[in-house]
Amino acid sequence: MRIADYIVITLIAVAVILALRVVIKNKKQGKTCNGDCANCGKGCK
Amino acid sequence: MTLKELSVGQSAVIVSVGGEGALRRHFLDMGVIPGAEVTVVKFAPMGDPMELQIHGYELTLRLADADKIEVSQISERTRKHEDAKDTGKDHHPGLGEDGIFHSESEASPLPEGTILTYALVGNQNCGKTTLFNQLTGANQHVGNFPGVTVDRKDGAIRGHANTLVTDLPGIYSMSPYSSEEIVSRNFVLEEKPKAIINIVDATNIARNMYLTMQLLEMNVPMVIALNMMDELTGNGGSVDINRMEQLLGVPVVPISASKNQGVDELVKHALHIAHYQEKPLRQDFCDQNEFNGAVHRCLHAVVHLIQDHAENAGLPVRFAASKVVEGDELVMEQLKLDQNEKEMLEHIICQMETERGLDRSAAIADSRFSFIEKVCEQTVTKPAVSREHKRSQMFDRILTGKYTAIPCFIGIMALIFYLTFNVIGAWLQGLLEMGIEALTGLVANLLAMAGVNDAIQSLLIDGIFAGVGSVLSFLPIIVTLFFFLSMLEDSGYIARVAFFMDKLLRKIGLSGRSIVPMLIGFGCTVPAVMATRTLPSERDRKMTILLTPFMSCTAKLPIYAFFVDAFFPAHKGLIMTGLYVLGIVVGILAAFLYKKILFSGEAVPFVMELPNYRLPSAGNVARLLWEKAKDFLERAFSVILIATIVVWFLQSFDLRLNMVADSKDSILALVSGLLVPIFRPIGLGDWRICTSLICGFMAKESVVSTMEILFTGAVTTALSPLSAAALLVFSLLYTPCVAAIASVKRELGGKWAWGVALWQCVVAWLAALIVRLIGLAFGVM
Repeated sequence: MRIADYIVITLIAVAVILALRVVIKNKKQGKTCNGDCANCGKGCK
Repeated sequence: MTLKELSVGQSAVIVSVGGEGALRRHFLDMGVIPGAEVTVVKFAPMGDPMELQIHGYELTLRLADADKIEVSQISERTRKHEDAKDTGKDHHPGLGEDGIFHSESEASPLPEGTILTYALVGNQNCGKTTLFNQLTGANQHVGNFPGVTVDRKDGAIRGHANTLVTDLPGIYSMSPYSSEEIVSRNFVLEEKPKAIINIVDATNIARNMYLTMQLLEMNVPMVIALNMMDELTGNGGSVDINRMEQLLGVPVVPISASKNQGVDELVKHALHIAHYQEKPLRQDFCDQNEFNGAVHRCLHAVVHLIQDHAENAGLPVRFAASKVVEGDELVMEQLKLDQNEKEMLEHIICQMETERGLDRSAAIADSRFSFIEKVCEQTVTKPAVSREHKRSQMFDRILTGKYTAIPCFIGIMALIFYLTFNVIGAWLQGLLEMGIEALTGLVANLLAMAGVNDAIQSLLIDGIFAGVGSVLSFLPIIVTLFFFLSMLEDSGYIARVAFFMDKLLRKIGLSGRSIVPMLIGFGCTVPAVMATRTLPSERDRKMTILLTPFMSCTAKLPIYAFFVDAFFPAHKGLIMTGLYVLGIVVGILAAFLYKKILFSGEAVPFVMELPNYRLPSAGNVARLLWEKAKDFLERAFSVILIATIVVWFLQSFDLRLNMVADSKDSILALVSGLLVPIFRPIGLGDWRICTSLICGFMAKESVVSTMEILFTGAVTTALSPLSAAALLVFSLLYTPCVAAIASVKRELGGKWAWGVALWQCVVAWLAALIVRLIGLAFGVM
């Protein structure tokens, strides 16, 4: 594998980790909060 | 005669109010009580619901509900509701009055450092969220439509970190009949805020004060924010603030939340009353001279009888007494009265009913409105005709006129969809697509130049860029659609649409308010599901969400266009229109089924006010657009990014994790192969079709592109016209895309989301089978 491969894989991995973090954070909150609390039926704790 | 039988312009006095439970309670809370005078203002275009003028405000009622109200016609209204004389001579002294209406010796200041908690309570559409945003600096969404806030939310007052304001849903009364009322009532009773900020719409004081009276009974320090004073005074009206304070026993502060006028003064009052725990000076509003003091004597007797129980239960005694007389079962349970006491109470209340000549609920409601009328007659000078109201009436003559309402509505919606999908949104989408394509090309070139591994290149370009890029390109459409819808909502038009569409939607068990999400569903199911949040009842909300997938979204258009062009070019328009109509018809059938099985009962009583038309605020619209865009981008770069990587992996590798040259050897093909037996009865038993439909679950647009790739352009030879017809019907009805299912999950939870996905597939399969069977019966192949 070349250095370029490692760079691209690292970038993709970082993107996936960040995406997973968002998904897990939202999962923990029990909702996918869009910041539109006024209209959200679940309440923000 | 009943209220329903009156014609436009006729007045009557209410003789009796029928109905039961929540509906009757609503009637009474809205001032529809025996003795009140009403005038019919107009009927909706289809003759239902009707708009009435009662207690100086406009109220909308369904004819079926109006039929339960007995009236006696009068030629002229006798209760003039005369204005106060000489209001406005004494200027509101502002802050110098701290403590005037309170006995300082009784004040018990809270220890320094105590968090001052506030409940922000008021009627629907009186500007609570606007005030909340002004107080806390938050960016909550506000709309000119009753019921925008459906749950509580908190924030500290700017510059006062030791405060916490909770914005509660708009309610008309503290009766525990709707979920909003229960949320608000429980908050005040159980979480015991240090003070209440009661926001009252100054242009509609009589109606708003009904809630104020009940809040005062709760014996919690309170300040009244008289909102929209600018609108009242701008039209020549005025309020004698000092006199009102004397009559109610709490500070009253005139404000304009939208213009941020008077808010600082309100904050200072709120901090003062909460810190010094200055409770309302007055809670006894019953008049001992009215009807021989029947209600007065009854309430006071009940107060004495239940005092110890109320103290033990932690309930304010006057509030508990009113609720006991009204027959509030929740309060009765909390009081834990013994049988003897219950019987005694019943005797007292029965005696009051006999003396007053009204049933218990009506008698209490009447005594409240009677006090309110006295307060208004002494303190309020109504504007002759408000400019806003005059303007609204002018617009309404066309927008809700008998023959013009529905054509106008269709015209406006058609214009919005045309501008969104053909002009503005499409143009912006084109620009974004060009940008994404250029970026994809640039990255592909860079990767090729750097000699990056083929598999990684494929992952990045065919997986991530293609997947996330195709979803991202919808951002302009969604933002544009929301721009127009928020304009409609902010202006007050949506409330009118609900008004005149109510009769039609009621037939399928929904109320008029459900029309908006259903319409958005023709654009995109994701915002449609989100738009259901404005619906007041959980039942209507769930049912509307379940129906939105039947409204054919625009992402399915490429599928229709592709197959109709290929198989039925002679009947293009007819088949395209037919598909949309079929979606609506199946949706209506499903609604009947839901009504029978899942959501028995009636839609919530349609009792709502029609707000005046207002110019949408640029800040509010911009804030909403930003929120939608942010939400969409977050989703595209989280859930959808991960999903595209998974699909790319399944499409590019076989079970031994070798990269495949032909996707028919991939894991995805293997999995799709398992589904072939299911699709065979509807004539779609080909793994490539199954794969395309599975890809459609990610995004509907990818059905056609996947088919093109898998069939290498020879789809017309691989399918018969009948199979194409079955495929069209299946595509129309089968599970909405993953983004829509995610929205359903967010609104209703995982179980419902899975249920919707599965149910839509079952309906689609059955409908496709019926199409195939009909085709075969007529010898079509």
